[in-house]
Amino acid sequence: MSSLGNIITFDDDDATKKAILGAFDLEVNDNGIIVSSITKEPALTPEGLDIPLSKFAGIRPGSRKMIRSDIVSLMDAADDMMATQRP
Amino acid sequence: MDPSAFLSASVILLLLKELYPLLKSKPKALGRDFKASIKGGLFHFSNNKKTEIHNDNRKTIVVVNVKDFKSKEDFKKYLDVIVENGTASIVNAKDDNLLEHIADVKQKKAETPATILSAYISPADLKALEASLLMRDQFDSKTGIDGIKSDIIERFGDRGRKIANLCTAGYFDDLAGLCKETCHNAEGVAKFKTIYETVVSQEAFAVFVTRAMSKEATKKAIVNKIMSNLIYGKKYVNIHGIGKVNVAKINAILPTLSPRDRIPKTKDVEIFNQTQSLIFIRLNF
Repeated sequence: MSSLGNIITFDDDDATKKAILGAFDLEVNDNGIIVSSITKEPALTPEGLDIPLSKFAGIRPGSRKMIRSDIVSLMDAADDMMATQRP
Repeated sequence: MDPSAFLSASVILLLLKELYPLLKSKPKALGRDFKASIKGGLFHFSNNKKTEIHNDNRKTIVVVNVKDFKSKEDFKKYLDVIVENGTASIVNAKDDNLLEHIADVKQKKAETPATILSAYISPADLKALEASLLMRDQFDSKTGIDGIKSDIIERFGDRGRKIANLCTAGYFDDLAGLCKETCHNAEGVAKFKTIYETVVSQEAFAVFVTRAMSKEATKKAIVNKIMSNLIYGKKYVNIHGIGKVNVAKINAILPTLSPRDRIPKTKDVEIFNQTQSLIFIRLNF
C-alpha cells in the first residue's frame, strides 16, 4: 500500500467533479466556488482557503477535509494522509 | 500502491450484493467474473469513459462512469462503501502523481536545504522552500513544473518567487552548507540570518554564483545581470558566492569584466563581506 493509503481517482472534468462533490452534499455556486449544498457556505481547505471547481483536487471522506489543487495544499494533504496511515 | 490490500472481503461482498445493482445496467465488462476482477481494484471515476475493468501494469483498474448510477443517492452509497469507512482518499487524477511524488520525498526523510534551514527561517519561507524543492525535482525529472511556480507566487508573493528562483539556481544548497558551518552559536545564527535575508531580498538584482556554474557561465550571468539592471535604472550589480571555489571563481572573473563585454566601466567595487569561503560585493557603474 502507498504511504498515502488507498486512493480513488477521478477525471479532471467538471461533470465528474460535480458528481463526486454531490455525493458529499457539496455543489458549485454562481462564482464557481465549491459550497455546501445545505448551508451554501464555502467548503474550505484545512487552512481556510476556498476552492474553485477548477482547483478541486479531492476530498478525504473520513474527515471531509478538502484538497485544493496547488502545491502547498497538496503538501499538507500528503502530510495528513501519511499521518493517518501511521500505526 | 499495492492493490492487493485495497478491498477487504466484506467490501467485495457488499459490492457484489448491494452496490452492483445500483448501476443502471450491468455493463458487459463487469458482468464476467466480477468478484475476481474487482478484488484489489483501483477505482477511477469518469464522466465519459466506459464502466469497465481492465489491467494496467499488473494493476486492476475499475473505471466507473458516474452517469451509470440510477441516482445521486445510489452513487453516494457506492462511494460510501469503496472509501472503506473513510480511510481512502478521493483525488483528482491530474494531481495524483504529484501527490505520490510529495509522499515519496517526505518518506525518504533525506537531508535537504529545507530540513537544514528549518530552524533558522520563517515558517512561510520554509513552506515556500519545500515547494520550490519539489518544483526543482519535477524540473530535474523533466516531468514538468506547470503551475507549481505560479502556486508559490500566489501563496507567498514576490518573496516566494525569489525563493523559487534561488532554489532553482541551486543557491539554497550553498546557503544550507553555510548554515551548517555558521550556526553553532547565537552569534553564528545571527550572522547567518543577516546573510540569508540579504540574499533573499536582493534576488532580483543580484547574481548568485553556484558550484554548478562554470567560469564562463558565471561571467555571462554577471554581464547579463548588469545589462538587465541598467534597464531598470540600477547602476550596480550585487554578486554573491558561498564556498572557496565560488569565491575564487568570482575573484578571477572580476578583473576580466571590461567595456569589451559591452558593459559600462566599473567605477568601484564595494565589499560587504568577504572571507575565504564567502563573498558579497557590489560593482558600481
